[in-house]
Amino acid sequence: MNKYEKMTPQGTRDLLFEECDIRRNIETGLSAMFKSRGYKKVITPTLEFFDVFDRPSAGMKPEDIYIFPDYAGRLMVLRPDSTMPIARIAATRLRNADLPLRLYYNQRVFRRAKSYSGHSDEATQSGIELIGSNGLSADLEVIVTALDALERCGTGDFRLEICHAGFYKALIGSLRADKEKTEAISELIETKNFAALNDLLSELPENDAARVLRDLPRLFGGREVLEKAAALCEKEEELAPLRYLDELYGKLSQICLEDKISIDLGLVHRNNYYTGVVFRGFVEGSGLTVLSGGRYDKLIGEFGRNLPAIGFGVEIDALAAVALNGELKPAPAPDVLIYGEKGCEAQAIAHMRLLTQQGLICENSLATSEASAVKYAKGIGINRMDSVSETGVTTKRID
Amino acid sequence: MRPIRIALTKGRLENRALNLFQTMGLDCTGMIKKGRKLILPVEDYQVVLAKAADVITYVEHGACDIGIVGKDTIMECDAKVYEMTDLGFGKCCFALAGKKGVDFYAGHSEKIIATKYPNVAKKFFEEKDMDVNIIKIEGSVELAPLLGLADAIVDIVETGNTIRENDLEVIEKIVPISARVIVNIASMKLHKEEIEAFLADVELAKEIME
Repeated sequence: MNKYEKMTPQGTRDLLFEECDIRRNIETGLSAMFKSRGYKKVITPTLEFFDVFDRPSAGMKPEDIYIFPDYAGRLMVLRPDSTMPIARIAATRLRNADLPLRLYYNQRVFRRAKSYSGHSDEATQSGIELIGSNGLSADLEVIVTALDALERCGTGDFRLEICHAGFYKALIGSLRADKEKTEAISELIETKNFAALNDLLSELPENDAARVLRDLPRLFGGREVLEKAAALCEKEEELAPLRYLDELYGKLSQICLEDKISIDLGLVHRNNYYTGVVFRGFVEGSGLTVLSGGRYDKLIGEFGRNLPAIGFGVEIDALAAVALNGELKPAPAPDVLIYGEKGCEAQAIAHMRLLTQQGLICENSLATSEASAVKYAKGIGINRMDSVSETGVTTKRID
Repeated sequence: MRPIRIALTKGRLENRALNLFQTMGLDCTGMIKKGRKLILPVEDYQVVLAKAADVITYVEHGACDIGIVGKDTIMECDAKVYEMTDLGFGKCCFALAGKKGVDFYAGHSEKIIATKYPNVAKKFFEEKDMDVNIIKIEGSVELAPLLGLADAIVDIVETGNTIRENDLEVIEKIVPISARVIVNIASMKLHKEEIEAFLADVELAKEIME
């Protein structure tokens, strides 16, 4: 029989040393930034009831989630997302709290990745949710925070791409196609599959919406995209989201962020909870989407309290991979090796406490002789050794 | 920034892609005299040759920015990439084929389907609300019904010669296939100008080649 005692399950791994450090740097940097803008931390359970995520707006397939029964046969999951548990909190424990709520999180989520695809089943996400306001000011605050998060974590160029869920919903609504065709069209726009989209749309009665949808995959780039799209549209429910994005773009330009922003009107999320502005972020060096977010004004209502909200999450693992850039830089050696002679073990530890209080990184030598402690220090590159004996402490330089 | 990297599918599509690049006016000496090199310089691009499914994997992860690969493999892999251009070459189709003269849909026993494309086969029969037993075969799928392992196959059919010569026939055409240009999502956003320039050249070359 195979025993799996020496390996981690597929899609998971052990993180060692500098990999942990780099992650912690990114996480603490982001947390400090969120905190400095008035966001308060929440931690939600790793185990949740499936019911929290079992809703059409979640856009999650059961086969992508870790599901198992509890002692009473109820379905449990390993948290696949942080926004839904936070929506639950906003509608329950925080139901009497003053609005707006500014919450941030830094925790792992679990999803089943395709076998041997190279994707992880376990990912750390760090993000914010601004709950209780649906104004431009709230959107601007969260989008600028997303941009700052990308700037802080990326090692090079970055881009935040913005769209509005209302625009696509209006178009697909006036197309009057059945559910199956609607799904197919969404998928083709999402993958920018011009050829197949054209074929599919030509099967449907030609109307204004069909004409715009045909061009939708091409409608990405700078602010000019919004003008192009507006020229194609006539209906108020299509024009309103475009005007809104333009206003937002204008505000972002005022704080000199427009060159990091792009518009992609073909950013179509299928079955999910977004209702307004949606966005996602990319950094040079990663082929993955490292940030995603948007406005969700209906989700918290599903938990029993109607509250508009907007938020985003950052993929810490993807950013850590970019920061490491494929190479692991060894952590620096300790500043001091402390060797206590036989009988002076307690004094050696006391001396170590003293030095660490001064901010030095120390290692307590476990060698049985001073000579072998020196050899050890040389081997791992420690430059200073403090020997502790009955007569006191002698400091030696090791070269 | 590293050069834009293009992954090409080895084999059937390789020469057609080379032809396309030459029509685009690219100096392909690096590809023609490749020797044992795996990353080939073609002007400002880096070209790599890989198996079809690997082309998609490299592009999905962003190890390559652009890929040229058949629609058959795209359908089987279900990857998150942009599928931007239908190149119009490498044409064939997915088809359901079985033994000549045998009514595949007759009877009520569960059918056994042999295929190199289990996901495509699964989706095809799901749409028909048909429960089938799919067996994955790596090589000549046509053998499976002949040896009595399967009732039918789901495979790509180009000329239909192999099918005919082995006393099989196409029961139903599933979907037409051709070569596509795929693009990594992040690359499309971060290197829009370079990639759009490449795609525009592809469109021009397509017109010349037609």
